[in-house]
Amino acid sequence: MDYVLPLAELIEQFRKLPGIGAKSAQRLAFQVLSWDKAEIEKFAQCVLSASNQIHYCPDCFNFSTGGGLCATCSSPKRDKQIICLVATARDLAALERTHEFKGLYHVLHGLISPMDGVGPDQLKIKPLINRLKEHTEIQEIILALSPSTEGEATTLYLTRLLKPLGVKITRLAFGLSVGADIEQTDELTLAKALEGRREC
Amino acid sequence: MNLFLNKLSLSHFRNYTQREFEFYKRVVFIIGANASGKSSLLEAIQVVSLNADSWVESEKQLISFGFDHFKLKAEYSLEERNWHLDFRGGSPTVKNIKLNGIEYRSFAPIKEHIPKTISFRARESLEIVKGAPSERRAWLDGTLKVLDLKYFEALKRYARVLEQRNSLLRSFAEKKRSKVSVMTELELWDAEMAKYGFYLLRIRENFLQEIEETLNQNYQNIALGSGSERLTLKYLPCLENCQSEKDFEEKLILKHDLDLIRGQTSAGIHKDDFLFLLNDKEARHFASQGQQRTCALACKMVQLEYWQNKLQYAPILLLDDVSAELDLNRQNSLFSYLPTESQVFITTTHLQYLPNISGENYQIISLS
Repeated sequence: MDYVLPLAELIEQFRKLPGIGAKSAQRLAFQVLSWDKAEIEKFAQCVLSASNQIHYCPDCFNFSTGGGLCATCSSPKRDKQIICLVATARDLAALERTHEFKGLYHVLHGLISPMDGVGPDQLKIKPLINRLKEHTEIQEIILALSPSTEGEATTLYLTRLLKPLGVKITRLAFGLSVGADIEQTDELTLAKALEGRREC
Repeated sequence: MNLFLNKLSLSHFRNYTQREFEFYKRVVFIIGANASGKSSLLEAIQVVSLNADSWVESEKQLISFGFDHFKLKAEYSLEERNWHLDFRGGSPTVKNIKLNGIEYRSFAPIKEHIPKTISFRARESLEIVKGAPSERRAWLDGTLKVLDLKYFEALKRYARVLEQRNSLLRSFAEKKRSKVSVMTELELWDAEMAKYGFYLLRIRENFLQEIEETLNQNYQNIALGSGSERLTLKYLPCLENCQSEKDFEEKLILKHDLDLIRGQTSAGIHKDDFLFLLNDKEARHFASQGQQRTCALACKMVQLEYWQNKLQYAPILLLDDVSAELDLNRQNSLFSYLPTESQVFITTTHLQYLPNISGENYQIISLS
């Protein structure tokens, strides 16, 4: 049986979300409909205001509110000479949780992946170049991209692009995860860790 | 250090509802009419060995009709220890491996304690000689990747890079993107492809060189008395004379125009091949069926020796229906040159095919 039109449309909207199939979409739609009016309004309002108030920071392209630079970019406590390049805002949040990095970020919003139709032009790479030209105080760029095939290709692309600009390019170390036993670590990770060893 | 499979019990596996086998000799003949479950028994041994050199199709097909999973229990000795492996499979929801009573979610942490097997199936064996290049690459990669994690990883990476590179080329062929934007990106994928491709090429080249003499030796042993042909190998890498990653990359660049027209990667290690030469003549064209089969069998023996050297123990050898396909001379020489340290399982339909194995005690399992 087909659902009445507004319900069918609501189900379709949920289906657009990643990881949501036909059944889950139905379940979610019915769940929402079972709420009382005030709750539904709040839900709709949240979606709207999130999309209205949140925008990309014009410098780092992380999510931000209020129109201008994000809190990180405008903080006087951050080191403006070093930029950490990440693929997604989620990666940025993971790095922030370390409380180790005091510099600024730049979010690419993806990795080069022809399969998904993503090339350098789809990523926030041009704004990065502009940012480097504008802020001559930037000394170092850390490429904090996953060591996946796509991450490696993007790292290579950026290295080739940025090296000639005279800025220092570094990348995250490969190696053992903290708390891991050497004995339990797979050969590949160990080999990488050996390769990237450093003087004590 | 030795590997010996003592016991195997099967439930709801193929046509076995519930059955237990005990093995107490190094050479085990499994005799029975067609459809009596000979190959299924070998298949079960394959499944518990969890390795990549396998004819096992999708696990789902292994379940007896009307059940939702199968169970296999194996008892074997390896590294001077006894192991009990419980394997429940057939559907993703009931997948379960227990080794000595401890449950594991993946094979990775226990792979060293799982028996390795090598299988030879007469029906499909000619493919390595006569079949498409992909058959030979499958054997090559299968032999190398099981024991070499780095090779395995490089293969996986290469396949992914190939997929990405092909997508990029296709987007140009389908006019979704301009040549300029495709070209800058193509360079990236060339470099990534060369990184893994050159590594794989070198390992393959060394391996084929390393085994050539052993292969010929094995061929001579099985073909005994039927001529003096010499078996050699010729590696045909798609990209020839690569001395470095840079070479590899440059050769990929030379193919850019062709790649762009075709919308796919026309050269690389995914197009490699090698030839079997009998007295310098291509075996796939000039050799008889028996010679080709002998050649295929020699390949398996080489694989076995290669693994044995690396593993420090002899893998189990499974021979499915070989006797039906070889003449008596070759059968006899095959059985007299069976690897001396491996446990060997051989299926056959008739007792009369049993050769005289001098001084060897063997076990006969009759299935009816």
